[in-house]
Amino acid sequence: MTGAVAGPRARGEALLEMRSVRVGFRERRHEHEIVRGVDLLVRAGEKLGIVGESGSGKTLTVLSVLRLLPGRLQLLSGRVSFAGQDLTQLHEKQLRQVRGAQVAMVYQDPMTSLNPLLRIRSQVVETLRAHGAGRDEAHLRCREVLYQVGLPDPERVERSFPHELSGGMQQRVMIAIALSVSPRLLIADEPTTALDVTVQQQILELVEGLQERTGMAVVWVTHDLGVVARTVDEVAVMYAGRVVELAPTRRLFARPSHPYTAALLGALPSAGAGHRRPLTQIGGTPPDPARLGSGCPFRARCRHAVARCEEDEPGLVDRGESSFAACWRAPEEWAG
Amino acid sequence: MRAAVLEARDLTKEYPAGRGRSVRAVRGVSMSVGEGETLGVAGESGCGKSTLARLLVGLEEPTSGSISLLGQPLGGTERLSLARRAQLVFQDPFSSLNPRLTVAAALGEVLALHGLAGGAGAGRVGGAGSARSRWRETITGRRSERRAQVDRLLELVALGARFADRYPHELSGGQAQRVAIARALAVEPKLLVLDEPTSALDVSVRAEIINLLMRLQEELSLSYVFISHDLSIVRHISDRVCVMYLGKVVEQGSWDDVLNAPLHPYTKALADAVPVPDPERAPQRATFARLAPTPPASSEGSEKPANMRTLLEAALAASRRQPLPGALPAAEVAPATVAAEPASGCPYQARCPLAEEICRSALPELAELVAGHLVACHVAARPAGVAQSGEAGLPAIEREPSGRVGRQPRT
Repeated sequence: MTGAVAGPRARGEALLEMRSVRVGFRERRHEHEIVRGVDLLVRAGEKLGIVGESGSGKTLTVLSVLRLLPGRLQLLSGRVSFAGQDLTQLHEKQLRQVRGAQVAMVYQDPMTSLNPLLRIRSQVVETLRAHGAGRDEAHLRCREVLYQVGLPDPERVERSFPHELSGGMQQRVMIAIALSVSPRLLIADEPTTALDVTVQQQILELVEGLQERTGMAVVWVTHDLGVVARTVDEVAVMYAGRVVELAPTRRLFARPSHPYTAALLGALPSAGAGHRRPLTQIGGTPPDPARLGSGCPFRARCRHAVARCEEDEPGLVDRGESSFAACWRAPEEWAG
Repeated sequence: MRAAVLEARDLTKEYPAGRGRSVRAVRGVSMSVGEGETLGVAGESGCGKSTLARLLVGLEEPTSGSISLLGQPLGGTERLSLARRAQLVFQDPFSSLNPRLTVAAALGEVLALHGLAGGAGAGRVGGAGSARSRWRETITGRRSERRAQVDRLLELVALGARFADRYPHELSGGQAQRVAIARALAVEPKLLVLDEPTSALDVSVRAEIINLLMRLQEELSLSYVFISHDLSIVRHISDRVCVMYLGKVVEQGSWDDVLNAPLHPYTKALADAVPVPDPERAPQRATFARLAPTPPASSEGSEKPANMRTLLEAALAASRRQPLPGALPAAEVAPATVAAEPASGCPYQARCPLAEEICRSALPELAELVAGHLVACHVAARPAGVAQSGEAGLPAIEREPSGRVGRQPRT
């Protein structure tokens, strides 16, 4: 690229690209879909948030990237490519070189991700050695990454067992392990949900700081709209296994284009909502993925639904300002 | 002044921690809740809020201090009659509902036990009957009467009688929490102690439960102690708020005073840590310095990739700045729970950006700085209200929106 680019960080190359990704399980030739066709694009250095309530398929979507789906769940169809390489075509052995080294993941509960029987040092060193570091190099580097994630007294942390650390410190160790091999993409699946708000703040700032310095891309999966507002550039809102809205963060919060997003934002108690005023409810419950039928999956809970919503499921429609929504009705038409 | 439903005086709860030591989970907490009032209790995990909840409903006995419910002392009160005055609702409805009981059986059990409907349990309460025989009475007692009462309870929490024959696994999280609330209401208590009642729920369901709780409060003139780490919800539902840290109340007052104009540095740090769902108001991008501790000696002379080098250098350059509130203190090596209670002085001293000499030696007592607004902080209590910039930097002040740190007490 030449000097024509305005910003210091031009929109980079496509790093992670998911096309029509469907996740589910097969049963006697019948496919049960849970993630029903998701398209996502993350460019180098970008931060994407995936928001949704439990059961919306957000975690399965990101687990499918590195083929980490649990149990009988599998990628039914679709393409996942990373830096131009089709991950779905890779052998398990080849994929291992991508896991960790290129794409790292941090999960919700650090206590279940760390081995309770091993000292922190062994766990960090193990990762580094698996990615080709020599023994001395790995030990040196271990202390560095622990320092890098803001752990006080890394030498002491190194010698600790997971149970000797607080939840926030454990999550820092997980992030240190994830970052130890300098991945180009970090996928964080609700990494702060189990933590206190003050610790959450530290972790968010940590990832922000590291992201700024290393230029890695981040996919942040969460149910917390507050976390998304401060963390990411672009948000994908998932409902019933699909992305129903995709928009730059500011635009999403200022002018949501999907009724579900609008309802979610309305349901939050905020300083402006009025003390003890009833909060806006969405009403109803998310649909059972096994019985979706035709039509928009949100229609039963949507106050703007029209006849067409019963028949056809809408795809993502351009709503301007790089925002897309899967709704038959533009926000201007909602009132009616 | 509304009549006090709950009065707690100087509550302390100690647990033995082995080798003759003890851990004080709750330390000298006093509070009162009036009729129809909501007292919000906020704090991080390990601050003693759940122990407090258990003390308030008599599930634990305080080591010292007293609690009175509706003017009667809690100590020595029989369990069942106590339960009729104060009920506890837990965070996770699925772990507080018996998976093998239908909704109707779970609610009917309570009614029978208290002899409120169906009659079978009346008179035997507290008697010799085993749990099993009481349970048999539950299912064989006068069904129609009890069933009508169950249906009424389900209507009350907006579930409807069609849920009566479901098992917990057939309920969504929000529905299960409604059942848990209905079960608490079955004995017609005056006070509900709600321990993180919405923390396990999704955003859309959370709003429903909050609305339900507010409606029930008005209809039944209930009093609530609403315990949560989520300040946005505490702010929304509470009339008065108290903030706990390491077992002590550090700030107490009306919701508006405490959460919109906090005086204690801990409340400020806590309020600032809550992510605001508004990108326009998102906080300043943090500097790496906030989290940088002293670098390990071994990092010198290492031959690492360039990006790591620059990272370390940036961190070193930036680490001259003092950490801000909420930044990782060295004390976090030991989890910041009640066990981390400092030997003397203010419990918050290790994390406090305003801490001074006096904070390390003397324990600040709750003092009424503004009418009805109690704060336990030496620095906030000083008449000028402004910290002496004794220690280097005090970057906390730079970061705070003007007028929040060391806000002048209103007189």
